[in-house]
Amino acid sequence: MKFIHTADLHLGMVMKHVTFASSEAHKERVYEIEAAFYRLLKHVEENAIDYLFITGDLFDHPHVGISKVDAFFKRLANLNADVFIVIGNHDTFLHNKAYNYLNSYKNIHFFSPDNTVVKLEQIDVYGMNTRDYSDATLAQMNQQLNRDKINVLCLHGDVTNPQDDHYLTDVKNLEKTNFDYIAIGHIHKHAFIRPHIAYSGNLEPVDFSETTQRGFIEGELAKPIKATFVPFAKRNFIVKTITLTTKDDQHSLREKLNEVIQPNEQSNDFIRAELTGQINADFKLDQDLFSLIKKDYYYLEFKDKTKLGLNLETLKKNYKDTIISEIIETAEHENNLDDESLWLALRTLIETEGAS
Amino acid sequence: MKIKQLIIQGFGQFINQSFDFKDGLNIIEGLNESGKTTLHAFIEAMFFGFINPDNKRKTYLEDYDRYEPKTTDVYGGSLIIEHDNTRYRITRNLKKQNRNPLQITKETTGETITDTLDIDPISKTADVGKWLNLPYPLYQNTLSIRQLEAKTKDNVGDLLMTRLSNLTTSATETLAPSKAVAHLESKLQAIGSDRASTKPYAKTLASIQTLEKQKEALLTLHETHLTQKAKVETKKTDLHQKTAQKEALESTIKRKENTLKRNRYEAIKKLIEEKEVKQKHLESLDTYKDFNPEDLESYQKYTHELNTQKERLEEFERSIQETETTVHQLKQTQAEPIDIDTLKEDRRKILELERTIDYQTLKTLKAEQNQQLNSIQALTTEKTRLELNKQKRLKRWFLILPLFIVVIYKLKLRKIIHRLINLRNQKDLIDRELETINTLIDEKKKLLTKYQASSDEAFEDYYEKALENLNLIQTINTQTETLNTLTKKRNTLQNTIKTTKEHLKALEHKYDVKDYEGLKNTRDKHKLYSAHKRDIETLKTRINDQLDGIDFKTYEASIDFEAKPSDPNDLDALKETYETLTTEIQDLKLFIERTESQIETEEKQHLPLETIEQLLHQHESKKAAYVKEKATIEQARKRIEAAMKTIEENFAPVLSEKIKTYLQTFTANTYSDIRVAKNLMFKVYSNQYAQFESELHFSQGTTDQVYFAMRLGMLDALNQSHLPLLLDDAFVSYDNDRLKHVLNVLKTMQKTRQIILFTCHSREHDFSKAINLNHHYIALSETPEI
Repeated sequence: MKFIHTADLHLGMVMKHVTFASSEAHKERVYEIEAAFYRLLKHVEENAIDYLFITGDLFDHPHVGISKVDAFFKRLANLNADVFIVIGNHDTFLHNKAYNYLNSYKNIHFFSPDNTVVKLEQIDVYGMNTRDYSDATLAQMNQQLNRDKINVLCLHGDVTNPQDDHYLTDVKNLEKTNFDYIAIGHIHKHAFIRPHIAYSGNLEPVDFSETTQRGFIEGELAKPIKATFVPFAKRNFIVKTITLTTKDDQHSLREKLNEVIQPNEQSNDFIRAELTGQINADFKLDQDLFSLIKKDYYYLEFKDKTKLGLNLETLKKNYKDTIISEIIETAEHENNLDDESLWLALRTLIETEGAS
Repeated sequence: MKIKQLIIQGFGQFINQSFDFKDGLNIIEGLNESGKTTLHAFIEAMFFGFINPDNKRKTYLEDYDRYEPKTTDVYGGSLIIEHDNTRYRITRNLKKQNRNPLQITKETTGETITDTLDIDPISKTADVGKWLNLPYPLYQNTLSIRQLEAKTKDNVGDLLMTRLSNLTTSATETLAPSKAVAHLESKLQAIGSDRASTKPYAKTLASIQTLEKQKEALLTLHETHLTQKAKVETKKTDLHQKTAQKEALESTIKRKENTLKRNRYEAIKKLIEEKEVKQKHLESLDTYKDFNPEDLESYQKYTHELNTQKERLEEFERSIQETETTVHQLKQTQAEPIDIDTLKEDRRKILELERTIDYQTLKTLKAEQNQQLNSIQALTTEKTRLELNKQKRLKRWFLILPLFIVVIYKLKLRKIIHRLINLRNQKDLIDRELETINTLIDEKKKLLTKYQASSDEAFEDYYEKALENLNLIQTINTQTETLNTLTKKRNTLQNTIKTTKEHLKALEHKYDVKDYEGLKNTRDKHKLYSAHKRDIETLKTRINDQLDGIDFKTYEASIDFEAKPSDPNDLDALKETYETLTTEIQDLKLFIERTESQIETEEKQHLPLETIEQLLHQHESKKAAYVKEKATIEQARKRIEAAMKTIEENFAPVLSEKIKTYLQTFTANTYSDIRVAKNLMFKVYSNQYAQFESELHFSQGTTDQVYFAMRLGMLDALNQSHLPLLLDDAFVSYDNDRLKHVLNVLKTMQKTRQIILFTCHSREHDFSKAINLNHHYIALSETPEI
């Protein structure tokens, strides 16, 4: 009785926090996220998995193309495994009657308030969609459990942070029940909250807020449950901080990047380099330079948080009684020293100094 | 800052020499070529290293090559300065590719401070100018003043103007705020406004608009698709039900059809038997099968034709006989044919002759002829009688009178002979005429004789008869021709009759009959044969119709003889229902298929939402970045412009005031005011002419003085009193008075500022002494020591 627990596929995801160089690169990533799921299904087949729990957010938004949805479920219907699906906060659109036909697939099981349990020969699988969750139903379910069988509960929502819009209940309430395994979706970072209560997380990370390992949970349905996390993502999102000084130039920037980013990361992962520190006025961190460096990477983006290596006090001293000191003093007077326009004004004046 | 000592290791003509400078005024006097400008250049080289400040890359000024010593490898030296009350040694090795081109040490401790200084971005060595707060341009254009008149005045002037412009707006010569503003402006322009459609900002806005539209269209489409899909799902249920209904109906229909089939099977069987009977009968009539009904018609036609032909033949025979008789009879009466044309010609001739012959004249002539003959006879007789008388008388009168008698007689005879001749002539004439007429008559007679005509009447009669005969001959000919034609026709008809008979014989032979009756009998048999054959065909068709294109065995095999019969009466109604169901199912399938494929196609035609959103996000970020950048640039520009305004307001009047004071002093109030326009062109107020004059009107000396005043004014305005002033033959064009005025100014200035004055004249030294201006005097020998 092998099972796999996955969630938060977010097919059709809009990745707003990654700036792709081209729409092709974006398409590739969208494809990879979909491909990860299809790869998982291959894994299900090759390893003769009996049960597949998909705990919500299969799709990202309600406007996913109908053809795509159809193709997705057709593929699931071809599996030998029984598939249990809870509808998460992102895919409530599956309630639309246009998708009524999904109930006709024999191996795909949905849940509804009228149909909270699927009883199979050896296991009973309970489930509540995000919008249907209630502690009362949970208690009811718990009461009617057949303790001789393996009991699994599928949910989608938050159980640790009451501030979350889709907070279900406190994990303690889940702990009190007698389910053998509680499969939850919603939090993208995988976590065993208890040995038998787990977020599987998503298969592929989608932006720089998801820098930890991604994969699924695989295991044996037994008493007690045996479950482990299997890393599965093709690419990782990695954030590196590079501190620059006034002595740095584009060559040393390259060297510093090479020092902190491993070759396999360079060729495979999504990397964000956050540049900090103070740099020389003539070291221009512009898009041309970035484009040049990016060529060596699968994906590299820069966050330029550097400041010009211009010390306002020194500037004031060096350009005493000049327009520069006048501008700085005005800014000081206005208490407006962090404004970028101040730096731009000074930088432009210094850059055009001596121009005739 | 003060320059204390020049230690030259190798520079121009100076090798291993040093010069000490003091605070206040230093006068370095020397003739041309004595090395004043070289010392001046050495100071500049020690400060700035001969690096071109106007070039982003490290390049050397022209002076670098000029001052490189020819006789030694050493190029450089040291400058001892006092800065912030500390003595420093600036040592430069000017040789290119030198590892240690610049070293700055504290003179007292020997501590090197080079590394602590900022690096000049061009030379990549310590920035001495920055350290000493002595920017190169400031040094070049204000502190270091050379023989202005010897230089290209306009260039220096323009450069000065630019610096002054910078100065009035930035309070320093080197910063160029208007350039900075222009630079920011171009940055703004590069981003563009929402109306500059070719610029990135407007392009981004346009892209966003397009994407928003695409997104909206996609969402609308998706809504439509969902509705359509829901409809499809309803239809699918419908389809499911209808398919089941159809299947049930199908089995009922099958049973009823089987019953029908069995019934039909019996019917077919009967038809087959009937067909077989007919078939046997047909076989017995097989000999008549090839009868052609047209042959009977032909036979009838030929018989009729034969009769007609025979009748016509008889007619011909009769006509021929009649004509033959006629010809024979005609030939009986026919005379020998004559040449009718000759006859006609002869007749014409006869008639002509008849007309020509004059029967009256003939009668007259004949009478005359008879008369004359009588006369001749009478005369002849007379003559004969006379001659006889004569003879007689002569005989009688023979001797007496013969001659007379002869003459008398002769006379008498002559008269008769003469008359006789006359008569005879007349008679000949008549004879001839008669002969002519008789010839014609003979001719006519001859012609008449030719036709055995004794008279004209007889000839006419003959002629009439000849014409009649001619007609007769023609009639005979015509009849003969008719006869020939008839004979020919008869022969042809005889051949036709022969052919017709052959046709009849052939037909009789063909059907082995003897006559028409026999042929008719054959026809009747054939009709019977055909009728049977038609019947069989009809039966076959009926059987085939019943079998509906399959053979009987297959049909038989397709019947379930075991099945219970079911009343097929309502089969049509059931079938109609079945057809309706089939159509409905087809329509449903078509609808489902079409809608699903339409959805799929339309979805494929549109970018998926995630792509649109991604692009939208990209462009929105871009837009936000542009907006922010624009705002930042705008703000930066405002900062610079505000500062420019403040400085301009505060600085320009101060500068003008300072320049004015210097100018008044230099020119001993000849020029008392200066106005610097916005474009920094200046006009100086001439007290002599009581008006402002532009620089174009000034002498070289005055122009130099104005520029000197402006420089000193700038130095004062910039509050750069701590920096030394280097004057290199700056007063060459000044007259003595003005030089004294300048020296008076310097007298005050040297108290706070070191002044190094290079000159080729002794008057600076002399005048300084005269006005008690203390100074350090260095005389350069013409050929400096080595």
